[in-house]
Amino acid sequence: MEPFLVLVVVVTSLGAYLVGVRWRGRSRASLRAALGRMLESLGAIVVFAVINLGLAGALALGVRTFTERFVSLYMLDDMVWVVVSVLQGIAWSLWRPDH
Amino acid sequence: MERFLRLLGAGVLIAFVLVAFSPLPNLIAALVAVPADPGKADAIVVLGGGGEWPHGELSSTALHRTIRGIRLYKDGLAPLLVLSGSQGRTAPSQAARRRALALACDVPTQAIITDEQANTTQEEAGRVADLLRPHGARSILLVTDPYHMMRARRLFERAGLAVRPVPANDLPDPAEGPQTRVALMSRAMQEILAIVYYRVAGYI
Repeated sequence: MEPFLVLVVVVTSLGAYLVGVRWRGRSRASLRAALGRMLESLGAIVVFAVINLGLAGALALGVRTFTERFVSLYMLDDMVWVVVSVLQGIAWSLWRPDH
Repeated sequence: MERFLRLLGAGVLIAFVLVAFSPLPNLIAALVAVPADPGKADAIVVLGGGGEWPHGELSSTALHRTIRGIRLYKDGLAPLLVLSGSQGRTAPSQAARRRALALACDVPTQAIITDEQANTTQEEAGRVADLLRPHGARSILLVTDPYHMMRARRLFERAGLAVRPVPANDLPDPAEGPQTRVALMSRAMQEILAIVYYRVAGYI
Protein backbone atom coordinates (compact mmCIF):
# COMPACT_ATOMS: atom_id res chain seq x y z
CA MET A 1 0.00 0.00 0.00
CA GLU A 2 2.65 2.56 1.08
CA PRO A 3 4.88 2.37 -2.02
CA PHE A 4 1.77 2.64 -4.22
CA LEU A 5 0.53 5.65 -2.25
CA VAL A 6 3.93 7.40 -2.33
CA LEU A 7 4.27 6.76 -6.07
CA VAL A 8 0.82 8.19 -6.84
CA VAL A 9 1.40 11.28 -4.66
CA VAL A 10 4.81 11.92 -6.26
CA VAL A 11 3.34 11.56 -9.77
CA THR A 12 0.35 13.88 -9.11
CA SER A 13 2.55 16.46 -7.33
CA LEU A 14 5.05 16.48 -10.22
CA GLY A 15 2.17 16.76 -12.69
CA ALA A 16 0.69 19.72 -10.80
CA TYR A 17 4.16 21.35 -10.66
CA LEU A 18 4.61 21.01 -14.43
CA VAL A 19 1.11 22.32 -15.16
CA GLY A 20 1.72 25.27 -12.82
CA VAL A 21 5.11 26.21 -14.25
CA ARG A 22 4.38 25.65 -17.96
CA TRP A 23 0.75 26.67 -18.39
CA ARG A 24 -0.29 28.69 -15.34
CA GLY A 25 2.67 31.08 -15.13
CA ARG A 26 3.76 30.09 -11.65
CA SER A 27 7.36 30.16 -10.39
CA ARG A 28 9.49 27.94 -8.19
CA ALA A 29 9.85 30.79 -5.68
CA SER A 30 6.11 31.21 -5.33
CA LEU A 31 5.77 27.44 -4.76
CA ARG A 32 8.11 27.80 -1.78
CA ALA A 33 5.92 30.60 -0.40
CA ALA A 34 2.81 28.49 -1.02
CA LEU A 35 4.29 25.57 0.91
CA GLY A 36 5.00 27.97 3.78
CA ARG A 37 1.37 29.11 3.75
CA MET A 38 0.26 25.47 3.65
CA LEU A 39 2.26 24.81 6.84
CA GLU A 40 0.73 27.93 8.36
CA SER A 41 -2.77 26.61 7.56
CA LEU A 42 -1.86 23.26 9.07
CA GLY A 43 -0.66 25.00 12.24
CA ALA A 44 -3.89 27.00 12.41
CA ILE A 45 -5.91 23.79 11.99
CA VAL A 46 -4.05 22.22 14.94
CA VAL A 47 -4.66 25.29 17.11
CA PHE A 48 -8.38 25.20 16.28
CA ALA A 49 -8.52 21.44 16.93
CA VAL A 50 -6.87 21.78 20.35
CA ILE A 51 -9.14 24.68 21.34
CA ASN A 52 -12.29 22.96 20.03
CA LEU A 53 -11.55 19.66 21.76
CA GLY A 54 -10.38 21.33 24.98
CA LEU A 55 -13.48 23.50 25.16
CA ALA A 56 -15.81 20.59 24.30
CA GLY A 57 -14.15 18.40 26.95
CA ALA A 58 -14.44 21.15 29.56
CA LEU A 59 -18.11 21.70 28.65
CA ALA A 60 -18.84 17.97 28.93
CA LEU A 61 -17.22 17.82 32.37
CA GLY A 62 -19.06 21.00 33.37
CA VAL A 63 -22.43 19.53 32.36
CA ARG A 64 -21.60 16.37 34.32
CA THR A 65 -20.60 18.38 37.38
CA PHE A 66 -23.38 20.96 37.47
CA THR A 67 -26.35 18.99 36.08
CA GLU A 68 -27.78 15.49 36.37
CA ARG A 69 -26.98 14.84 32.72
CA PHE A 70 -24.14 12.55 31.62
CA VAL A 71 -22.14 13.62 28.58
CA SER A 72 -19.55 11.10 27.43
CA LEU A 73 -16.04 12.32 26.64
CA TYR A 74 -16.04 9.74 23.83
CA MET A 75 -18.02 12.32 21.82
CA LEU A 76 -14.60 13.91 21.23
CA ASP A 77 -13.57 10.76 19.32
CA ASP A 78 -15.32 11.89 16.15
CA MET A 79 -13.84 12.78 12.77
CA VAL A 80 -16.23 15.75 12.52
CA TRP A 81 -14.06 17.69 15.01
CA VAL A 82 -11.13 17.34 12.60
CA VAL A 83 -13.20 18.39 9.57
CA VAL A 84 -14.59 21.45 11.37
CA SER A 85 -11.10 22.41 12.58
CA VAL A 86 -9.75 22.06 9.02
CA LEU A 87 -12.43 24.47 7.76
CA GLN A 88 -11.73 26.95 10.56
CA GLY A 89 -7.95 26.73 10.06
CA ILE A 90 -8.20 27.26 6.30
CA ALA A 91 -10.58 30.20 6.73
CA TRP A 92 -8.20 31.76 9.26
CA SER A 93 -5.23 31.34 6.92
CA LEU A 94 -7.08 32.85 3.96
CA TRP A 95 -8.28 35.78 6.05
CA ARG A 96 -5.69 38.43 5.20
CA PRO A 97 -5.37 42.04 6.42
CA ASP A 98 -7.29 44.55 4.27
CA HIS A 99 -4.22 46.67 3.33
CA MET B 1 2.31 34.34 14.85
CA GLU B 2 2.81 33.12 11.24
CA ARG B 3 6.21 31.71 12.16
CA PHE B 4 4.73 29.83 15.14
CA LEU B 5 1.93 28.41 12.98
CA ARG B 6 4.43 27.31 10.30
CA LEU B 7 6.63 25.56 12.87
CA LEU B 8 3.57 23.89 14.40
CA GLY B 9 2.37 22.86 10.93
CA ALA B 10 5.79 21.40 10.09
CA GLY B 11 5.79 19.49 13.38
CA VAL B 12 2.34 18.06 12.70
CA LEU B 13 3.34 17.06 9.17
CA ILE B 14 6.42 15.21 10.47
CA ALA B 15 4.32 13.58 13.21
CA PHE B 16 1.72 12.47 10.64
CA VAL B 17 4.39 10.87 8.43
CA LEU B 18 5.89 9.08 11.44
CA VAL B 19 2.48 7.82 12.61
CA ALA B 20 1.18 6.74 9.20
CA PHE B 21 4.39 5.27 7.76
CA SER B 22 6.47 3.95 10.66
CA PRO B 23 5.98 1.41 13.48
CA LEU B 24 5.77 4.25 16.04
CA PRO B 25 2.02 3.70 16.80
CA ASN B 26 2.70 0.03 17.56
CA LEU B 27 5.50 0.98 19.97
CA ILE B 28 3.35 3.56 21.78
CA ALA B 29 0.31 1.25 21.89
CA ALA B 30 2.51 -1.47 23.38
CA LEU B 31 3.34 0.89 26.27
CA VAL B 32 -0.37 1.29 27.09
CA ALA B 33 -1.63 -2.21 26.26
CA VAL B 34 -1.84 -4.91 28.92
CA PRO B 35 -1.24 -8.54 27.89
CA ALA B 36 -3.69 -11.33 28.71
CA ASP B 37 -3.36 -13.32 31.90
CA PRO B 38 -6.32 -15.71 31.87
CA GLY B 39 -6.89 -18.18 34.69
CA LYS B 40 -9.47 -19.25 37.24
CA ALA B 41 -11.36 -16.45 38.98
CA ASP B 42 -14.60 -15.85 40.88
CA ALA B 43 -16.26 -13.83 38.10
CA ILE B 44 -15.82 -12.54 34.56
CA VAL B 45 -16.45 -8.81 34.22
CA VAL B 46 -17.14 -7.47 30.72
CA LEU B 47 -16.95 -3.69 30.65
CA GLY B 48 -19.39 -1.57 28.67
CA GLY B 49 -18.21 0.44 25.73
CA GLY B 50 -18.66 1.05 22.07
CA GLY B 51 -22.40 1.49 22.46
CA GLU B 52 -24.90 0.19 19.98
CA TRP B 53 -26.01 1.11 16.51
CA PRO B 54 -29.26 3.05 16.01
CA HIS B 55 -31.37 -0.09 15.49
CA GLY B 56 -30.06 -1.77 18.59
CA GLU B 57 -27.24 -3.99 17.34
CA LEU B 58 -24.16 -4.07 19.55
CA SER B 59 -21.18 -2.20 18.13
CA SER B 60 -18.04 -4.02 17.05
CA THR B 61 -16.26 -3.13 20.30
CA ALA B 62 -19.20 -4.24 22.45
CA LEU B 63 -19.51 -7.50 20.51
CA HIS B 64 -15.79 -8.32 20.76
CA ARG B 65 -15.84 -7.83 24.52
CA THR B 66 -19.07 -9.76 25.07
CA ILE B 67 -18.00 -12.73 22.98
CA ARG B 68 -14.66 -12.83 24.79
CA GLY B 69 -16.52 -12.91 28.12
CA ILE B 70 -18.87 -15.65 26.95
CA ARG B 71 -15.94 -17.75 25.73
CA LEU B 72 -14.19 -17.38 29.09
CA TYR B 73 -17.39 -18.52 30.80
CA LYS B 74 -17.73 -21.48 28.40
CA ASP B 75 -14.10 -22.41 29.13
CA GLY B 76 -15.14 -22.74 32.77
CA LEU B 77 -12.81 -20.05 34.10
CA ALA B 78 -15.43 -18.46 36.38
CA PRO B 79 -19.01 -19.23 37.51
CA LEU B 80 -20.34 -15.68 37.08
CA LEU B 81 -20.55 -13.40 34.05
CA VAL B 82 -21.01 -9.70 34.78
CA LEU B 83 -22.17 -7.64 31.79
CA SER B 84 -22.04 -3.89 32.09
CA GLY B 85 -23.37 -1.15 29.82
CA SER B 86 -25.77 1.72 30.28
CA GLN B 87 -28.61 2.66 27.95
CA GLY B 88 -27.76 4.73 24.90
CA ARG B 89 -30.29 6.46 22.66
CA THR B 90 -32.52 3.40 22.41
CA ALA B 91 -33.84 0.94 24.99
CA PRO B 92 -32.95 -1.61 26.20
CA SER B 93 -29.52 -1.00 27.73
CA GLN B 94 -26.26 -2.35 26.30
CA ALA B 95 -26.07 -4.70 29.31
CA ALA B 96 -29.51 -6.11 28.46
CA ARG B 97 -28.51 -6.66 24.83
CA ARG B 98 -25.34 -8.39 25.97
CA ARG B 99 -27.36 -10.54 28.35
CA ALA B 100 -29.62 -11.61 25.48
CA LEU B 101 -26.53 -12.60 23.47
CA ALA B 102 -25.11 -14.58 26.40
CA LEU B 103 -28.44 -16.39 26.90
CA ALA B 104 -28.51 -17.21 23.18
CA CYS B 105 -25.07 -18.76 23.67
CA ASP B 106 -26.47 -20.99 26.44
CA VAL B 107 -25.01 -19.15 29.40
CA PRO B 108 -27.47 -19.93 32.24
CA THR B 109 -29.53 -17.00 33.44
CA GLN B 110 -28.46 -17.46 37.07
CA ALA B 111 -24.81 -17.03 36.05
CA ILE B 112 -25.40 -13.58 34.52
CA ILE B 113 -25.29 -10.32 36.45
CA THR B 114 -25.97 -7.03 34.65
CA ASP B 115 -25.30 -3.43 35.52
CA GLU B 116 -27.12 -0.78 33.49
CA GLN B 117 -26.34 2.31 35.56
CA ALA B 118 -22.60 3.00 35.24
CA ASN B 119 -21.59 5.55 32.61
CA THR B 120 -17.83 5.66 33.19
CA THR B 121 -15.12 3.12 33.97
CA GLN B 122 -14.79 4.58 37.46
CA GLU B 123 -18.51 4.08 38.10
CA GLU B 124 -18.35 0.55 36.67
CA ALA B 125 -15.58 -0.44 39.09
CA GLY B 126 -17.55 0.74 42.13
CA ARG B 127 -20.88 -0.69 41.03
CA VAL B 128 -19.51 -4.07 39.91
CA ALA B 129 -17.57 -4.46 43.17
CA ASP B 130 -20.84 -3.79 45.05
CA LEU B 131 -22.73 -6.30 42.88
CA LEU B 132 -20.11 -9.01 43.40
CA ARG B 133 -19.75 -8.59 47.16
CA PRO B 134 -22.91 -10.62 48.05
CA HIS B 135 -21.57 -13.46 45.86
CA GLY B 136 -18.29 -13.52 47.78
CA ALA B 137 -16.32 -12.85 44.61
CA ARG B 138 -12.84 -11.45 45.26
CA SER B 139 -11.06 -12.14 41.97
CA ILE B 140 -12.17 -11.30 38.44
CA LEU B 141 -11.24 -11.83 34.83
CA LEU B 142 -11.53 -8.30 33.43
CA VAL B 143 -12.54 -8.01 29.77
CA THR B 144 -12.05 -4.74 27.92
CA ASP B 145 -9.83 -3.62 25.06
CA PRO B 146 -6.08 -3.82 25.70
CA TYR B 147 -5.54 -0.04 25.71
CA HIS B 148 -8.32 0.57 28.23
CA MET B 149 -7.08 -2.26 30.49
CA MET B 150 -4.37 -0.40 32.43
CA ARG B 151 -6.80 2.26 33.71
CA ALA B 152 -9.65 -0.21 34.26
CA ARG B 153 -7.41 -2.67 36.12
CA ARG B 154 -6.24 0.00 38.59
CA LEU B 155 -9.82 1.08 39.26
CA PHE B 156 -11.03 -2.47 39.97
CA GLU B 157 -8.00 -3.17 42.16
CA ARG B 158 -8.78 0.00 44.11
CA ALA B 159 -12.33 -1.32 44.47
CA GLY B 160 -10.86 -4.35 46.29
CA LEU B 161 -10.84 -6.99 43.55
CA ALA B 162 -7.90 -9.09 42.35
CA VAL B 163 -7.76 -8.62 38.58
CA ARG B 164 -6.62 -10.95 35.81
CA PRO B 165 -6.68 -9.00 32.52
CA VAL B 166 -8.17 -10.61 29.41
CA PRO B 167 -8.12 -8.03 26.61
CA ALA B 168 -10.54 -8.19 23.68
CA ASN B 169 -9.09 -6.26 20.78
CA ASP B 170 -11.06 -4.75 17.93
CA LEU B 171 -8.01 -3.18 16.31
CA PRO B 172 -5.30 -5.20 14.54
CA ASP B 173 -2.18 -5.32 16.68
CA PRO B 174 0.43 -4.72 15.35
CA ALA B 175 -1.26 -2.26 13.01
CA GLU B 176 -0.33 -2.49 9.35
CA GLY B 177 -1.24 0.15 6.78
CA PRO B 178 -1.43 3.92 7.29
CA GLN B 179 -5.12 4.14 8.24
CA THR B 180 -4.88 1.40 10.88
CA ARG B 181 -1.71 2.94 12.31
CA VAL B 182 -3.42 6.33 12.61
CA ALA B 183 -6.44 4.66 14.28
CA LEU B 184 -4.18 2.79 16.72
CA MET B 185 -2.24 5.95 17.57
CA SER B 186 -5.48 7.83 18.09
CA ARG B 187 -6.73 5.08 20.45
CA ALA B 188 -3.45 5.00 22.40
CA MET B 189 -3.31 8.81 22.75
CA GLN B 190 -6.96 8.89 23.82
CA GLU B 191 -6.19 6.39 26.57
CA ILE B 192 -3.03 8.23 27.67
CA LEU B 193 -5.10 11.42 28.07
CA ALA B 194 -7.75 9.44 29.99
CA ILE B 195 -5.08 8.04 32.34
CA VAL B 196 -3.76 11.58 32.95
CA TYR B 197 -7.31 12.82 33.63
CA TYR B 198 -8.04 9.94 36.03
CA ARG B 199 -4.76 10.57 37.86
CA VAL B 200 -5.40 14.31 38.16
CA ALA B 201 -8.95 13.56 39.39
CA GLY B 202 -7.51 11.11 41.94
CA TYR B 203 -9.44 8.11 40.59
CA ILE B 204 -6.32 5.96 40.11
